Amino acid sequence: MIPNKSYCFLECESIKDAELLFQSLHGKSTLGQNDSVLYLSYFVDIPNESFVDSKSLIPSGLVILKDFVDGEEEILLLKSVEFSENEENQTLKHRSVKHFGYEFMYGTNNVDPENPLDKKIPKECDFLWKRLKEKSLPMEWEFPDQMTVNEYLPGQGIPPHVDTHSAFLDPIVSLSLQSDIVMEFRKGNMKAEILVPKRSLLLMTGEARYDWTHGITPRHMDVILTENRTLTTANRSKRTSLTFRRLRRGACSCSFPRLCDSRKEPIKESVDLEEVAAKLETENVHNVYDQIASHFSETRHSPWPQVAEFLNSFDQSDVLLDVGCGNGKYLNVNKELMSVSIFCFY
Amino acid sequence: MKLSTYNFLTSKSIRGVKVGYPLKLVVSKQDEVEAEFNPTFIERLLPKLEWSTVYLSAEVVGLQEDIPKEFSDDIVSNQDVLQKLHHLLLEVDILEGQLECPETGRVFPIKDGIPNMLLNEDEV
Repeated sequence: MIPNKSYCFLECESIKDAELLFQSLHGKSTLGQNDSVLYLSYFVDIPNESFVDSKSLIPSGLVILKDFVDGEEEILLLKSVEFSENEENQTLKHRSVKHFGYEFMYGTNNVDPENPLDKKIPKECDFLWKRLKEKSLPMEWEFPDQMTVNEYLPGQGIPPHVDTHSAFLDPIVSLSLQSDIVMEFRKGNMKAEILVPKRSLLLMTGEARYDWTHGITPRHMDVILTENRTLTTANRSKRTSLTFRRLRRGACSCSFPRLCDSRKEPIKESVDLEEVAAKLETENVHNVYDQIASHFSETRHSPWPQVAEFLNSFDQSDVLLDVGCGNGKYLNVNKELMSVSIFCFY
Repeated sequence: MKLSTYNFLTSKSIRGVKVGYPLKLVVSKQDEVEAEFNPTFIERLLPKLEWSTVYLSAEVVGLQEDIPKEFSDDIVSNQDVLQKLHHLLLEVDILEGQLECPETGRVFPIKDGIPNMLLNEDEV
């Protein structure tokens, strides 16, 4: 078995049944995702691994309030944050996002408190906070001032991350609409797969907010635990999540330093990082190119058509600077240019 | 290294260096290659070159008799000078020698016709 791949086990009454299953499914059945075929092999025993552990572990501080909104409210909320065709919204690699109150900047993983957006959190969301207050949960805020709307199509997801500690107060609150989803929480080598039902409100407080990362694996279906503790699959459909946060406007003082950006010593860190980066570059770039240089050069002779087109777009005697010119294959594409080329050698 | 290339090189990226130009050129071995003469190419290249450095490099390789010390617009209409510039800038090939930063004295060696302008991490 290949590690970190998922497998399914079918238990049969007799060897004859197993053979029959094998003959009719192996390399033929398209039960898999994206119409890919299934491959089967025989096992004597079902491996004694616990598949249930990660599905029953719950990070401390994680709260899921099921059926927090009803179907009508769901429709109203969706309408208030609707993704319209002509409106500008960001399509990230694996999902579409939209920000209200403050823009969450993915470059810095932070918000700029001095730059609020004109677009505030819609009034339609207000009823949530009264309802939430009645639950008397530990919260540093009563009303959010930032909302991020994510739209996930089946097969999309979000890489594991922790919401920047210094950016937002405790908790991070997320309302799931339209589809159930399995979210993965990780802390060290601990992993918790949490089924987040549609119309539920998820709160990451304390340890779950600060010391666990959360993410959604991009796939079309989730494996979920049924009530009688067996496993089944559920197809994903389009899911919209409304994530509500309150800006912290200061350093974080949590008791979970491991993932805390306020605990890091930025100056020392950056010096160390530069050393590490230089070492990595020497090992993985310079040394590698050193070893492969002659082969690399021999196999790079034909100019890429669009680069050639670019080079031919200049006038005679224009100056071309080719930084990292390798074997100089672009030097003679446009002979009318004055070329200065740089490459690195040791 | 052709002298047209030399015209573009500076040591400005050394930490603390303000201009770093022109670099002091010392030649220990040079060659001549043949390149096709294209007067328009030279004519259009001239405005991009630093004339005093063109003259300086002519002095280094002993061709200063060929090149007027001061730039004037007459040059572009003088086929003979253009031809000589062509020879100086594109045909003289510096194979061995060195370039030296005018402010710090940092030496950049020229080996096999290639100037090594690479600086160490702690110099930038």
